[in-house]
Amino acid sequence: MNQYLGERVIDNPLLVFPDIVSRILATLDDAEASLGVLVDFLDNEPDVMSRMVLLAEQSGLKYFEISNSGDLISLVGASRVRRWLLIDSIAAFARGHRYAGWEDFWRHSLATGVCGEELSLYCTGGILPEMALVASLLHDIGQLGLFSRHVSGYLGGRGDAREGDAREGDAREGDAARPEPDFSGVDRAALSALVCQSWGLPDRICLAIRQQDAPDAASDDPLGCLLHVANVLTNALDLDGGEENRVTNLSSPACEKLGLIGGDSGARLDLMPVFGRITARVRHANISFL
Amino acid sequence: MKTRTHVINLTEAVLEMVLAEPVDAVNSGIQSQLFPAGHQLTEDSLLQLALSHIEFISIQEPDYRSSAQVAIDAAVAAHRVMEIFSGADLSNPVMAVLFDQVLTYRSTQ
Repeated sequence: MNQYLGERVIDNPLLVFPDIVSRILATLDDAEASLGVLVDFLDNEPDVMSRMVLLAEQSGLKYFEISNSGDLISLVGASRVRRWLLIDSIAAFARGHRYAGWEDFWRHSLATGVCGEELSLYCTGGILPEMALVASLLHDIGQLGLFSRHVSGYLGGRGDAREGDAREGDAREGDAARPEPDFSGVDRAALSALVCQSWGLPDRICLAIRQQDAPDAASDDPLGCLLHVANVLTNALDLDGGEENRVTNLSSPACEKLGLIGGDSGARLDLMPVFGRITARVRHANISFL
Repeated sequence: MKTRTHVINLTEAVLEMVLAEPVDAVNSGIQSQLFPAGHQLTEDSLLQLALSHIEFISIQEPDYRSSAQVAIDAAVAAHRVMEIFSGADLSNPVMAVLFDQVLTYRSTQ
């Protein structure tokens, strides 16, 4: 990968990652600390709290008065609030870039994120759903950096950077008519991993993202395998509505590492039980977070 | 009457929908059945589902499509699945199983 390109993506002042994501991930193995992070964040972010209350009301809890973070967590459950916060924070981050293709980017990321989280609940391998969700949501994050003006201007494509442009990431009139910058030869998985690394996300997530396109050679950690399968299912089920969705490979070693095939029981691949749930969750996530 | 089964988010549930599968809840590590398959949703049961942190339910709903329309919908879905898998090596057993399952799922939705 062009090193300068990677540095330019990381140096992008607009790529300031929401630190609540790291705080949630850092306390996953400590229930009390994890709860403290949620309460502290929600109590200090009234706009986010309002969005969470709205999501709770839409989830059939409209008859209850939710006046503080404690009410919210006890009614909805800490794990769901945690998941909503993770998606909401990364959605706000992605939306903030508003380059011409951000919506397609986010639709694909959201679908893969939901798919990855659901798979973690279905597979063996002890992958925490929150880790699966964040890794899957961010698996293509380097693309967001590539398409911002900060970088694409450097390559002479859409959204050329202008000095002093306060809203560098915005799509502008006429952008659509410009050619897409040429990113051929860029290792997007490596770039995405590099970006996650620069944000201090767990090594496990960075490594999984880096290895997502080489699941056969992935490390013993099944998270990279999960990203591969989540990507395959996102395409197979048209979860992101992409016309170009294609499936060319489903790695057997990856499926084996996730306990989807083989093992002592010689299990045969059976993903039918999760298709309905994944599809329903993506449909719902599109309404709530697009 | 023909019916078909869908998984829906609880936000999409409406009164009188019929559960296609039982709904279980886990409370303090103990799993118990909230409602059996065939239960018809009421305001009370919807509230109970929400308070039990249930997010998704499988429902059975009447399929009003004609046989011809069912066949057309299945053909459209199958065409799309074949397009998606057009570059896949279906001699690979894992790929073949995935293809079959996706085809079955999408042709019956």
